[in-house]
Amino acid sequence: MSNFKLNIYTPQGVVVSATPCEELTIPTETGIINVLKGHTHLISELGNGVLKVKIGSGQTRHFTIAGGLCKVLGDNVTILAKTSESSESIDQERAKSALSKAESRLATGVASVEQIKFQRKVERAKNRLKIANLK
Amino acid sequence: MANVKDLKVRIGSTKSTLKITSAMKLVSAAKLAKAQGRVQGFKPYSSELENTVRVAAALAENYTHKYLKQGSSDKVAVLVISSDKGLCGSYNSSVAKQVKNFAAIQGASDCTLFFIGKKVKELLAREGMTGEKTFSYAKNDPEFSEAQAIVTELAAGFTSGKYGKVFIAYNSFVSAIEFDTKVNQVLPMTVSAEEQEALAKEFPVDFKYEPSVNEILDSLVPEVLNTTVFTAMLDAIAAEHATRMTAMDNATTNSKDMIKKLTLTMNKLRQAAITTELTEIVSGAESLNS
Repeated sequence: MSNFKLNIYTPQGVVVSATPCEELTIPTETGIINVLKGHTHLISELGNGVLKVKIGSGQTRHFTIAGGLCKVLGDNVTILAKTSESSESIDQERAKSALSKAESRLATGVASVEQIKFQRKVERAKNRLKIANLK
Repeated sequence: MANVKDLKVRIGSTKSTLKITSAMKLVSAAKLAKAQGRVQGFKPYSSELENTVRVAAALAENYTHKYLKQGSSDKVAVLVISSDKGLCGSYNSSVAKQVKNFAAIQGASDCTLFFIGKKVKELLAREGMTGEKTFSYAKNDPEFSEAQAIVTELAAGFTSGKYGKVFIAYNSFVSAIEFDTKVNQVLPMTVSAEEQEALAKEFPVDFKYEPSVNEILDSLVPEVLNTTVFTAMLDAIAAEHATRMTAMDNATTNSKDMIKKLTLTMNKLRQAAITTELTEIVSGAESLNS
């Protein structure tokens, strides 16, 4: 089966390095894209969302992505995310409490500058919970 | 010549120093391992990001960003990274020396200093060089956002034209017994013409950009600056722990030597006193017998 290599780097550390995969579903700023082998060279901004990685033989891994950059060059896909977590490393309890905290802050009303920040927090927490359940 | 009692006191105090230095050495070794881990975890991200931006900036025609433009002001800002604690050999004095030299070349009145860590600030204050502002952060575990806050402030000075150039002075980690004191220019970011050509040759294919190349670069160029400063912060911390570990290792060895020497002297003195006393008793008894 034809495959290519995936790297995910974040400021906190390397999440995965040179992992072979068959198909990627990447949440970019402008919409979700699918990457297969032989994809055109691409540099794209990432949005908040879930990165789906098909690693072959029917197995799939999931990662949260929160902003950053994605570079497709030849047989290498490099994701430079501001934060990224694999579904295995997610602490559901923490994500749940972060979600409820952020939602309650939004409900009580915050300044418009802060609003975006908390909306992002809600999004990130939801993404984390989503993939934690996909395990 | 010191007497036996004095020597005993000195040996006691050297022993407690030894305990402290060897404990500090172990602590620094543990912290160094952690700091090195962070540097290594961050490096792939920063180098890949910088590489991507360089390539994109080289391939994009007529792209300019406010961070890439040369400033017109003669004034420069220097961010000086040092430690809050001493007992780390030449770590701080080396940075202070470099900054002094740098200021002498640039003209002291044109230099505005910003500090992270208070040691070099104190050293330079003695020379009459005072800083504009001191930043502080959780020394052992800097957050990326803290680097961002510092960068925002320095970059604002650059874009407003207050400073023509921004430099960063820090110790870069080389090995456990070596560090390299650097004064690097961070703003404006420069890509030389040859480098640009080499990059353009290396990547004959152009990328597809989403959204546009300019928009991507607009958001990435500041990110590169953040990572540069954050790398320097992490590097400086690793170097600090490495230097302290070496310094404390030397101190431990010296204390051990000192204790050995003092013990030997003390034993000699004690033996001499016993011998004298014995001779006195024997000769006293002898004189009674005769």
